[in-house]
Amino acid sequence: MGLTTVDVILIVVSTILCLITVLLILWQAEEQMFVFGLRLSESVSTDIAGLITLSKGLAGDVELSYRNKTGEIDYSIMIKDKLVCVTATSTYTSTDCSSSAADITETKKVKGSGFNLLITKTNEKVEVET
Amino acid sequence: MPILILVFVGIAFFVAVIVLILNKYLDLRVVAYTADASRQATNLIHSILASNCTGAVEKKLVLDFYRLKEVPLDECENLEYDYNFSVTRIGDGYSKKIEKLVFNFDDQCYLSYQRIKGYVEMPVVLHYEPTREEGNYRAGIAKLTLMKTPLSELAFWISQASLRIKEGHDEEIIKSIRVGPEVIRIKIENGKICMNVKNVPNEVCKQLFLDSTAKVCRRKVSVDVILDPKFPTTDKDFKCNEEYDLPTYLELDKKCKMINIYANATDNEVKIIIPVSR
Repeated sequence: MGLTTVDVILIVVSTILCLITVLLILWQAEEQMFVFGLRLSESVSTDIAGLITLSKGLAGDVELSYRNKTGEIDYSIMIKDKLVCVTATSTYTSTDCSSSAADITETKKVKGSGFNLLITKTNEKVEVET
Repeated sequence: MPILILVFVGIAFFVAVIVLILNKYLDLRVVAYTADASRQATNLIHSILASNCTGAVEKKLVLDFYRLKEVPLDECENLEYDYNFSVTRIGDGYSKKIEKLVFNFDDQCYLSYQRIKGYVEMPVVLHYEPTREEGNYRAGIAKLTLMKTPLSELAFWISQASLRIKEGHDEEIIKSIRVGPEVIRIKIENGKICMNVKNVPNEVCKQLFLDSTAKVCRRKVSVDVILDPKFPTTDKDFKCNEEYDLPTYLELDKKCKMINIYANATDNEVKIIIPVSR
């Protein structure tokens, strides 16, 4: 029993519909991941805030360095008081803030696709440099 | 053959309904927030222990048990989270505690990603006054539990809105914070936000970190009015506390409340409006 023309048309149309549905699902999943899940701005701000807190807890003078050399993602980082705010722009743009347990009394900003942040603790005073 | 095709189409449609319409996608916020909270807890316990450390014995931190601070460790305060911290002596179980998690997270008011805990334990060595002779050291366990609470979320978002609007990250911010029925009153005074919680004798407070030009204003309105783009942000019915010398009280009734924070950059000033829906 061979395929009729109608069968072939049905197969092609059904396959195309299935592929479109799968594509829609993947796009929605990607958007959900970047907007609600693995937000680049959230992970970077948490990492930096966590390192500032850790430096406060380590004994003696200490230097910690946080590097990000992505090339494809633009970052804007703002550090003030106990807040670390990061805006990350790639396919989607998101802004998130995290908090540290140490006050950074001067406002620090950095912009660009790659950056190196130096966290220095000297005599209980925590400073951040770019 | 047509039946097989129909089966494939049916399966694809079924999956699409599940993911797109019913929104039963894995909530990655739970995974991400748990990882963040655990990481923050580890770093915070290092900070708390180091600020109380009197030295090191056999590569372990030595804490002065009787001088362990019983007041909130302000220099280790984390804006985003509140925590319970305890040091327990192994053997007799005697412990010292700082408990700031006074909210009832079993209430249905709070969503799954708001009940995330960061938890860490560390072995420590405790020593006692008056001397540090050998034999005066005892083993102990330091424990830290970290959670986001309505108090920390409000303090964090008010402070964050001030910074983000001022520095031009956002034109406006609208954020809703769920507050459970156990919270009786919210007060903003002297740069702090405080809450009175049922069955908790003392109010719990958190410092706000605001730009010097920021005003914290309050008004009792419904949620629909706040989300309207034409909502009058310069309405004189708002009561703003510019110098924080007057308390701003928000009385709450006995339901799960949505506290809405609305921040808008106008004339180089940041105005944060906290209404209460009734």
